[in-house]
Amino acid sequence: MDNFTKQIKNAQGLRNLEQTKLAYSHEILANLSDDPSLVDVLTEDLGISDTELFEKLSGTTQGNITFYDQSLSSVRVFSKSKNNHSNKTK
Amino acid sequence: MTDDKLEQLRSSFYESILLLQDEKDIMDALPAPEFQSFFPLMEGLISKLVAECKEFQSLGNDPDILEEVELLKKKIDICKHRVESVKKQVSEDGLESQATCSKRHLIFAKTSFGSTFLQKDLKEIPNEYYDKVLDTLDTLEFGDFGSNTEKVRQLTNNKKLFGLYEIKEFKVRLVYRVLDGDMVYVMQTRMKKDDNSSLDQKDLIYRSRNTNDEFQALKEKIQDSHERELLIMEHEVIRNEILSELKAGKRDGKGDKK
Repeated sequence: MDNFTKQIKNAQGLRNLEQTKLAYSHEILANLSDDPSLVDVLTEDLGISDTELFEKLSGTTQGNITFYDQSLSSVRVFSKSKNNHSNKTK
Repeated sequence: MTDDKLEQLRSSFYESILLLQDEKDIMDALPAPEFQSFFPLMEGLISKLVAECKEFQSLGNDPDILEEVELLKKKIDICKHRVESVKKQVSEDGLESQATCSKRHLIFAKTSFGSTFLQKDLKEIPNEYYDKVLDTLDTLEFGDFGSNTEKVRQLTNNKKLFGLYEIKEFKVRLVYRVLDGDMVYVMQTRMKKDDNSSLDQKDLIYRSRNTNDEFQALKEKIQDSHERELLIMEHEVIRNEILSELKAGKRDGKGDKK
C-alpha cells in the first residue's frame, strides 16, 4: 500500500471514530432527554461530575470510547430498571 | 433503545480501528481501562480483527494482502497485550495478593496544603470513634486479609476498574488503593452514615479523582528503589504523628465534634 493510501485510510479511521463517538453521544442524550433524572444516576455510576459528562457528550472535550460505551450501557440499564419498577407499581 | 443499537455502535468503532494505519493513532483510539466496558469492547474488537485477518489470509499471497495481514496481526497483538496487562494489574491489586503481605507500608494521600486527607477527615469523626480508626489502620498495616475478608472488601459498586478497598470497624470506614505489593495508599476515613449512602459515595468518588494524580505519580516514583525507601521513611513519620493524634484524641474524649 503506498503512503498516500495509508494516510487516507488513517484519516478515514479517525473521522469514523469521531462519528462513532458522536452517534453514541446522540443516543445517550436522547435517553437523558426522556428522563433527565438519569443524569444524577449516571454521573454517580461513572464517578464523574455533570460538567465532565456534558463536556464529553457535547463534544467540548473528547473521551475515550469506553466512556461513551459505558455511559450508553448504564443509561439503558437504569432506564429499563426504572420502567420495570414503574410497571410493577401500576 | 435496543441491544442492536449498542452492537451497531460497537461495530462502527471496530471499523474505525480496522481503518487506522498509524500506530500512535491506534494506541490512542483503543479502549482505556476506565470502566467495565473495557473488557467487552476489547473482546469484540479482538474477535473482529481475528476474523478480518483470517479472511485476508484466505485471499492469497499478494504483497498488499500480506501487508494488510501483518498490520492486522500487529493490531491483535497490541490489543491482547493491553488486555493482559490490565488483567495482571487487577489480579495484582486483588485481595488474594494483598493477603500474602504480613506488613503493609501506609502511604497517606496528601492535601494541597501538605497535610494528609486522613488528618482532615479525622476532624469529622467524634473522638469516641478514634479507637475504631486506630483499629482500621492496624488492620490495614498488619491484618491477615486471607482470613479477614468480612472486614476488608473491594468496592465493587464503583465502576472504575482499578478498585478502591474498604476496611470497616463498626461505623468507621478506611478507604485505600494498592500502590504496590506491600504499599497501600490511604485515601479516606469516615463514619458510615445510615441515611446518606449516596452522599458517601459521591464524596469518595470526588476524593478518588482528586487524589488520582498523586497516586499515579507515586506509582511511577516507587519504581526507583531509593525513592521507594525515602517515601516509606517519610510516611512512617506521618503514620506515627497520626497514631499519636488518634491516641491523644482518645484520651481527651471531648465527645462529639458535630
